[in-house]
Amino acid sequence: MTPDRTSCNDRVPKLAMAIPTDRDLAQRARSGDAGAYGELVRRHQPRIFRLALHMLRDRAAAEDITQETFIRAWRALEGFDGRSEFYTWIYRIAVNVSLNALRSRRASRLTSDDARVDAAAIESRPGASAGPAGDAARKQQYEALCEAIDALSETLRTTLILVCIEGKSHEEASGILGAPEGTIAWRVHEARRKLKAFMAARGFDVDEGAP
Amino acid sequence: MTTHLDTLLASWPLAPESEADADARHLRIMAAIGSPAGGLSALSDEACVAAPLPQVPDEAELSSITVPSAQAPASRRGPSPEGTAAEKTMSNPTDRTRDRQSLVDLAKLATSPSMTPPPPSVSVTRGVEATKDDSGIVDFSALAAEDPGAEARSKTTELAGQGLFDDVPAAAIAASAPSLAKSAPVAAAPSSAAALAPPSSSALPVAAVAEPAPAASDSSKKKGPPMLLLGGAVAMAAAAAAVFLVMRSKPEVVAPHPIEPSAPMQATAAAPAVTAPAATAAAAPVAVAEAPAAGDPAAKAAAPKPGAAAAPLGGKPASAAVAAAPAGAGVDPKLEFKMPAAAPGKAGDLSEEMRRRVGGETGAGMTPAATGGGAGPGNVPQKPSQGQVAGAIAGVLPAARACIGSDDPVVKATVMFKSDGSVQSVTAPGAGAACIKAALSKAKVQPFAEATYSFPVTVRGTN
Repeated sequence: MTPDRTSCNDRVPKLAMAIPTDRDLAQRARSGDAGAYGELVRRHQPRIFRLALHMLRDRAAAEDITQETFIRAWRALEGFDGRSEFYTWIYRIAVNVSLNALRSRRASRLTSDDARVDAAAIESRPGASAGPAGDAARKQQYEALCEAIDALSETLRTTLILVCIEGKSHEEASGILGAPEGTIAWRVHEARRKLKAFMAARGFDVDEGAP
Repeated sequence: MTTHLDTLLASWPLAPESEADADARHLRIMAAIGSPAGGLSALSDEACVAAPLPQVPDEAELSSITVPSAQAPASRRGPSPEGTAAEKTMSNPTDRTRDRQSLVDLAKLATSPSMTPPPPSVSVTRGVEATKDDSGIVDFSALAAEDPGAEARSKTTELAGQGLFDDVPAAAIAASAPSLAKSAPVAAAPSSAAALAPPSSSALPVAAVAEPAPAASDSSKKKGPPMLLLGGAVAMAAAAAAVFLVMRSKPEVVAPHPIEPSAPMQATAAAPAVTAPAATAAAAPVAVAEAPAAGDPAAKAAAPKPGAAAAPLGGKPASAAVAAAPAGAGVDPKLEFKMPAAAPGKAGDLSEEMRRRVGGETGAGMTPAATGGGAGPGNVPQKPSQGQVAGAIAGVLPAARACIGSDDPVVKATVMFKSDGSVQSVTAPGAGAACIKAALSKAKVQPFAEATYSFPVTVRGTN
């Protein structure tokens, strides 16, 4: 349960108890409470959108995927038994919908403007920018990284996005993708190894280890 | 400048989204939920909540690699035990494929001539029959010729085992000695691929062969290098026989035919595939040929012909020449022994013979599996290994993948194997099901004990 950081100290316990959990909201949504489901949508749609953006590389397509994910989740909510976390369940649906969209448009050409690279170029983090030259180098680095990720297989790419970009643990990724944790770990290891080799071939010196 | 890959991925920037954009998306979603379903992709509701990327068969092998926990990417949610759990799972020994599948494989290696070269400590005299495929032939005649007095000494030298057991009558020791003499030379063929000639009536010291290790060592002390060679060869043969009999898992029944003694008392190396029955026959006294007595019609029929090769065993194409010393002058009376009569069809059954020796139940009450006949449940695994199934599936998966197009949805099939290793049934929904079933039905694994074994297979279209 997340405490409300903006509230006064004497009101924190009361507000904290008032915030329903995903499980409570899902339970209420199953019984037809659209408001409860709306709250779930509000909580999770940014992350689903971000996942879809990394999966499909296109902002408009990511919008569509996000919308379809929540529509399908609403229709399948009867089947959600609450044994897993709601976000695991909704992520699984999002991955399925994204992969289905990717496969259906595999033959078509990808858009030349990669939303991931554009976002990296626009984003300006404190201390990250080193002037125009630094921004250009950073954009080149992310372009190469996008190219490397796109060169990965569907399985490795999806696992890498969930674990390394979305920050899911191996256990969570295991629940989302339906593969054993050992397999998830191997996929991440393999994806990172390939990324490093790809980047090194492009002249970027990357280190696998965490800082 | 070195950049950390994990940092690069974890801090991937996305264009900041205004609150208005998020609210607008929220409203769109909620409005779409309220309206009739339209514009959704062709994904079914079941496929929507199914595991998107389960473990595929070839990953079963690869995921056994142990990844150090230090290489696990740092989660932005703080420390979690997933690294340890992943490492534990990935180092699970059940996921690994063993280099040696079973003792049967080991026995095959042991019987392969190319895998069992003669020990370097034993120098062998290669006979004219030796080919490049043989590991060597011990020419006992040549050895005996080097020491012409060996035969005479063998008649007067006491067996090494005599006197060792005071409570056992000497006659009993003498009676048991020939059985050793029978089993050792015959069983030596499979492991060493060196054909050991039985004792010749004219040259070979009978006692040395009759009591393999002790007599040989005793004789070698007295008679010098030839006896040392002979003792080494016999000891090697005995050890090989013991190893092979232990390894043997499928005994074959050998009819109790007398085995023709070969005239020159020199046998050629046996082919590995047929040495097992010969060893079996030698191990069971009922199947070993007795020395034909003088005047015996059978012995006359099997009279040795000079230059003739040994007769096949029981009509089988066994090339192992198991020769017995012919009756007549020159045969030590100690070697004459009587074989117990065997029940028909049980000859050569080592398990049966062992039970008889210890006084246990025999015959009718024993199941074929208990008596070691055929491939019993003890010889097959409870269920096929993951690696084996993965290998079998990987062999037919390309054909199954060719059944669906690259744009078709993934087909989740289930292959059910029968206990004999073949595919009993394949369930595959969706497009190309019949083609996928036909392709996956060709998979085959080794037999296993359980009635059936199901294995999920994910079939994706080829690009």
